[in-house]
Amino acid sequence: MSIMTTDSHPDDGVLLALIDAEVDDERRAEFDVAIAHVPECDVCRMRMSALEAESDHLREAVAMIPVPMIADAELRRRLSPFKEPAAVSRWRRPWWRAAAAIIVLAGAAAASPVRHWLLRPFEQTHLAPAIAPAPAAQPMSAAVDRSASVSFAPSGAEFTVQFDSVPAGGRLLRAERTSAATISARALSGASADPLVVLPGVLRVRNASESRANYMILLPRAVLRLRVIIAGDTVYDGAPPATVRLDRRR
Amino acid sequence: MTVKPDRISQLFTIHHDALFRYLVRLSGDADIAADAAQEAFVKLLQREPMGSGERAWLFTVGTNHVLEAKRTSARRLRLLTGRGERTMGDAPPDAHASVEADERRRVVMAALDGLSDKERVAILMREEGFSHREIAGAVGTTTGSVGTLLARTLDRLTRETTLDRDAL
Repeated sequence: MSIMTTDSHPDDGVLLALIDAEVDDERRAEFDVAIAHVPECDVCRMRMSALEAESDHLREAVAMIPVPMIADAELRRRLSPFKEPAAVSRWRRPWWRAAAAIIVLAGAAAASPVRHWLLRPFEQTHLAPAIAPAPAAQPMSAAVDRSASVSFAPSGAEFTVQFDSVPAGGRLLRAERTSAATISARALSGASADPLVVLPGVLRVRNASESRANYMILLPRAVLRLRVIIAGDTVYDGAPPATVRLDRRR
Repeated sequence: MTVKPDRISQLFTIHHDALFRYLVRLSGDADIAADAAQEAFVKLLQREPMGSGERAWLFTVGTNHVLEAKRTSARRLRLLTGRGERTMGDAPPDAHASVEADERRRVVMAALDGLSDKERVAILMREEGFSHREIAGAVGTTTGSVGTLLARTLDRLTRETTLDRDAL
C-alpha cells in the first residue's frame, strides 16, 4: 500500500474507488486521507470529474451495443442438439427433469432460449397432466390448444398474478376457487400461449401486447387475497373469485 | 446437495437478462453469449448451494465460457454485420442515423475488442453494478487493484473511442 499524506495526490485507483463508493475497511486509513484531501485539491477534483465523465461516456457507449432477441428460427437451431440421442438421455435423469420442471412452463412463444431449452423435455412429457381440469365457463370456453399450464403449492394467504404487458382487447383472467391444495393456472388460447413463470407467491405471465390468450387460475381456500398486476399497474386487489379484464387499467 | 430448483427459478428470472446482455457485450457475439448463459445455469444446477454469491458466480462462469469460446473462435464483431436482427433497442429513425449508429457501435466494439480480457471483464462487470471485490474475484486480482485497473481502462476506452470518432 502506498503511504499518502494530505499533501500528496491519491492515485486513480483510489479516486475511482471513491466514485464507486468502494471504500473497503482494509484500506480505510488511505481512503480517509483521500477523503480529506480531494475537496481541497483542484487537481484531484478535476481528475475525479474526468473519471466520472469517462464513466458516463462508457455507459453511453456500451448501451449502444445491440443485445439481440433470439428469433424463433434461431431458437430451433439452438435447440437442435438436444434432439440428438445423447442429449435426450441427459434429460432422462430425474434430478434434471425435476429442476427443469420448476424453472418455467412456457407456451409456443417462449422468448428466452435458455428457458425454452430448459423447458422443452419437460414440456413434452409432463405438461398435459400438470393441472386439474378447468371448469367450463363463459367466456373462458375458448378452445384449448397448445395451452401452457402449471400447478404448484401456495406460499401464503396472498397470491399475485403479474402480466408483463397489456394484451389485446377482450382478454380475461378468471380466478376460481378449488378444493384442491394447489394453485393451478392455465393459459387458454386458440393460437399460442405465453410463458408462465412461478415465483414464491407470484405467477408471472411473460406475455406480449399482441397476446390472444385468456387465463384460468384455480385458487385453494387458503389463498384469501388475489392481486393482479398488469404492466406494473395493480388492476385487482381483493378476494377471489374474480374475473379481470386484462386490457383495462384501473 | 445441489441448489434447489425453486432457487434456480428465482435466479434465472432475476439474472438471466442481465447476464445475457453482459455476455453479448463481452463476446460481441449473441451465439456465444447465449451458450455461455446456458452453461452458467447448467453448472448452477449441478453445484452446491452457495448462499448470496450466486450472481457473481453466474457472471464468472459465463465470463470464463466466453473467454474459452473466444480462444477457439474468431467470430467476434459479428454483431456489427448483423443488420436485420431484432434488438431490444429502438430502431434508428432514418437511414442516416442508422449508418451513424452502426459506425459508432463499430468504434465502441473495436475499442472493447482492443482491451485485454481482464480489462474488458472488469469494465463490463462494473457496468452491471458489481462491487470491486466481486470484480477482483472474477478477474483474479486484489480488491485494492481493481480501481486502478478500471481507471486505466476508462482512460484507454475514452481515448480510443474519442480519437476514432474524431477521425470520422
